[in-house]
Amino acid sequence: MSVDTILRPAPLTTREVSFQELDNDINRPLESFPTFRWWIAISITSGMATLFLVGIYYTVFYGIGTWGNNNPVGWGFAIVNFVFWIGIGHAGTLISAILFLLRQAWRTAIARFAEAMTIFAVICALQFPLFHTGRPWLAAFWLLPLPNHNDIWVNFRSPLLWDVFAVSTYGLVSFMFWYTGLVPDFATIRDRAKHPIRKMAYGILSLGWTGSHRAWQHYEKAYLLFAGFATPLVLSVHSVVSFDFAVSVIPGWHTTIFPPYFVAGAIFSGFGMVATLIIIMRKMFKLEYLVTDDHLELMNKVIITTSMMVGFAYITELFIAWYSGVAYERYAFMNRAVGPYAWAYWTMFSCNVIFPQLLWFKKIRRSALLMYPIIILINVGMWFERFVIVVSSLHRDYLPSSWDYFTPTIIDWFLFIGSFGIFLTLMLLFCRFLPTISIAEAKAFSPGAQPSGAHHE
Amino acid sequence: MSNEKKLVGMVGLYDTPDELAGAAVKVRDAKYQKWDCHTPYPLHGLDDAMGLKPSPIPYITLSAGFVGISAALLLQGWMSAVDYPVRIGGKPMWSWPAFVPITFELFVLFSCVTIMGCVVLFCKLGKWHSPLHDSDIMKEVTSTRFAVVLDSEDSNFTEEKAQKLLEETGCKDIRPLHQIVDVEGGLI
Amino acid sequence: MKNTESTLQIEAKPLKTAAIILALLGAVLSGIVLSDKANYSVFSFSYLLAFIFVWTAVIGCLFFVALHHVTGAVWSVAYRRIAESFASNVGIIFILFLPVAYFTYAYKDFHLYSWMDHHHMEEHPVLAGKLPYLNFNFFAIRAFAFFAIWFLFSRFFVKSSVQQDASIGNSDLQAKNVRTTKKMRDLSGPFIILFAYTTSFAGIDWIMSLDPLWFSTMYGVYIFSGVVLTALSVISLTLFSLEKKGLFPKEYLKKDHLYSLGALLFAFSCFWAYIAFSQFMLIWYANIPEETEWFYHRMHGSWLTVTIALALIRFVIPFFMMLSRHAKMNIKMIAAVSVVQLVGQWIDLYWLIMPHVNKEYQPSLGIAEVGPTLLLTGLLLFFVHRFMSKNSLIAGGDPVLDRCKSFHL
Repeated sequence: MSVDTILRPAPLTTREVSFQELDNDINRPLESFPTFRWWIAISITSGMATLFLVGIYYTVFYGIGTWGNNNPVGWGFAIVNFVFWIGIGHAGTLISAILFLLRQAWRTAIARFAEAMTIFAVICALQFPLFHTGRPWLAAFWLLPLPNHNDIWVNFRSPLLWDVFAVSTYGLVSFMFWYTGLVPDFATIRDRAKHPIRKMAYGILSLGWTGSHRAWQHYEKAYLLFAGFATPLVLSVHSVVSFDFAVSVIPGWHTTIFPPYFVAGAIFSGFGMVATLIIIMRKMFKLEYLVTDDHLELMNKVIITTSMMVGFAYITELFIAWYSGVAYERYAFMNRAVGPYAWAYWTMFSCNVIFPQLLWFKKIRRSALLMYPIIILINVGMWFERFVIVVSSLHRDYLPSSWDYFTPTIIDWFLFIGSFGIFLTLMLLFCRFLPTISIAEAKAFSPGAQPSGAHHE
Repeated sequence: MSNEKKLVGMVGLYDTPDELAGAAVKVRDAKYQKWDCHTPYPLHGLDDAMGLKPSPIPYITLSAGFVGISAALLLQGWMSAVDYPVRIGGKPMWSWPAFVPITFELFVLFSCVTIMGCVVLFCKLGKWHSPLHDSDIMKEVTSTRFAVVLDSEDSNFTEEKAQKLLEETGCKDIRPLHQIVDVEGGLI
Repeated sequence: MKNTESTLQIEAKPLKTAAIILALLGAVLSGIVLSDKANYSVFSFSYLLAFIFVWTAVIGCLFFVALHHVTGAVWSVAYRRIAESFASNVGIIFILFLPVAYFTYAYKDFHLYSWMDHHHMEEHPVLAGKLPYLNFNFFAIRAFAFFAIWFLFSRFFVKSSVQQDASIGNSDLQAKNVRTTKKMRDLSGPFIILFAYTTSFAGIDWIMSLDPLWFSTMYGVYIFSGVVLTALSVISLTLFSLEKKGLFPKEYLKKDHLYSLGALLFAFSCFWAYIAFSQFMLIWYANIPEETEWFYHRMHGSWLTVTIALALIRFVIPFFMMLSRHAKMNIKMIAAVSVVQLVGQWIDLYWLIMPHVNKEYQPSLGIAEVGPTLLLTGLLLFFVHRFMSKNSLIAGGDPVLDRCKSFHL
């Protein structure tokens, strides 16, 4: 029993890989004609995306009345989906920025993929509040501090405006971070390209990258700085989203633990989604030796950790609701647990806290097949968490005469399913046009890639 | 064909990072100024081997961040308390806790846009055309191999001296780098 | 594996002498304060403050040890023993808790915890509902349970680590040590979960319930951020003083090790600011009377000065001190920030606890406030020193120590 095998972190790849092999394998999906399975997949997802367009058409033509939102529940599916998608995005930044700062080399295998997910998830998320404004073509005047006819400014004291700044900053920074990471890989693809149009397209994207060390020096510094800024940014974004709820005086919304609790939940759901998709991706493109079972295990460890954090927040909320002695607080939580939406609450609780406990078993953590049902449930559970927060807190407000039950309409469902369509279509396109694993990083971290005697700083 | 080839540099190609790192030290010590290493991924320790100065990006970024903070506070304070004061939620006009989130976001936004600008500027991106791109050297250095490029504009540069220096570093694959000059139409 | 330096033990007396002087001074000051019966009330609060202060150091170091194991960290192997020498004192901390329990139970003419006034509680429409939780028996049972959990785990982690030292120069024990490390790693996960709940509820029980009407779900997280900062500060300061005396091997004080420690200090300072601001802003914004009252008291009059000082000392000053990469690698800077953070922790606890003495109490720094802290800090340092002089300064038997020596970021 040697120390090396037990206490050392697992190697990043299951076998030794040459640089040439990395180039070939990571670029294979880009350079070959899509498989039949890919065409089937993208037809399904773009069909789903069409539902979104139908939903938007109805919404814009007939108004928000086509949604299930009613009088106490003014924030229905739109905000549930918005928070859900923003949360999905968080794993991307966590993996690309926080794990980078923590020098977790294993992030290389999943970072690019997760970052792409972030950007696509933010795109999906933005649709909902935009159309929830009712007249999205005027939204710029309501959302941004632009001079206008009435000489009045946007309300800087509103958390909804904080959201505008937070989410747009987040989207832009994630994109710049992602693009910066892609530049050297674009150069690699450019120099491998056989077809002149292909060469030109990737050549333009590569911004003329030459792999010069004088450039790498600044590039690395910039990448580190991006990571340094993205880390507090990602915490702030979901905190700001949580402020939308927590600054109010609505029982179940106004609770101070919301910011860190939302961040933990976002990372939890994001990792769930990364795992859901990357398991399919590595199978499809035969990259199991780069995205190994060790990677899955590490991801599962993050998932169980964040699951415990979310569970901690649930329990704290329940306890403090009782402890506060405030009748409204107590009622809001009782109503969640045994009221008309108890089914949603217990779905959330079991999917987010109870089932993930199975990940304590090493065997389940390391098996793509065994963990798959659990992570699917996590995706479901985290959607329900937002549903519980938005709907169950609103549907019985201070005025019992206005209590109502929220039921989503078919348009709500179209938009919800459609947003998955947009997201998955973009992911499928991403897998075909961009390298799903950072080639330069995969090379830099492979054994023997660094000059002997030099160290990562 | 009225094309003419002009020698703009000398390239040495290496197979391992160790060879390159060793070569970089030798070229640095030969007092070359205009030269560069080209690698498929960042090599650690090459900054010292090449004798590069630390990157100024952190300082530029931080300054931009503070500009962002000031801009955010001025923007919010002026719009909500001076230009069109509106009392909301019984809060004071200068309700600073409510301004913190946007201030923070703009701090990050200004910093990150600056970082991106610095990447383009300092990494000299956006120059799609260079003799390297016309040669087949790029194919090697964005994939598996490592190169030292000695620029002909360096005062130490002559074809023979460069060749000799690269040979001294143990390079087995030395290639001249040409720029194709169209005599009638200038550079392509 | 041979680590001659790992048998290093503290022989320098000054720390011990300083600890004893500190404790004696504290005892004398406390004695002076207690000679006047009128001071009993203030004293019981400042004793609580002192107790929480040393408790955060000990429990925080225990958390540091568990965090080290659960992440399989390499850089912190050499520093772990310092954390262990603090974490081994859970028993001492329990004894120091007994006076708090005594003040809670025995004093009838004033109340450390106003929920001990049952008459008042029963009359009050809201407080009456909290009696099942806020009563002495349940309070004591909970405290006992918390201490039992901390004690068992601190014993396990410290004892296993010290036992590993036996393998120095004895390669037969290597395999056993690997098993021990593995066991510590396996148990650290469950411990951290227990730690999250116990620490958070201890914070609620011991500090938040000083005002039985007030509540905040963020409270446990807020206490946690202070706990971690305190632990990092005491570890850094101990490291600094050992380094200054030349007792700590230089190969574990390379830039890469120090950077990791400095970056943690920096990160948790920001985390504290994030948690503190979120809690404050949400309560300020919603402005619900039962919550706002707590902050209102601290945001007006002379308490506002303390609040501003707290924000500066806990976040703004350390932030700028630690911002540069070089500062995070400089042990002097790390030590300086640690001092600032320890002062910050004390002010933080002062800010949390002392406004509850009574409405008229104004912030002041007299012997009544300082005495108990000196006494308890001196006692803790004495026992830390005792542990250090009995055991090696570095976890010499840890199978990962070699990798720690050659650790690079």
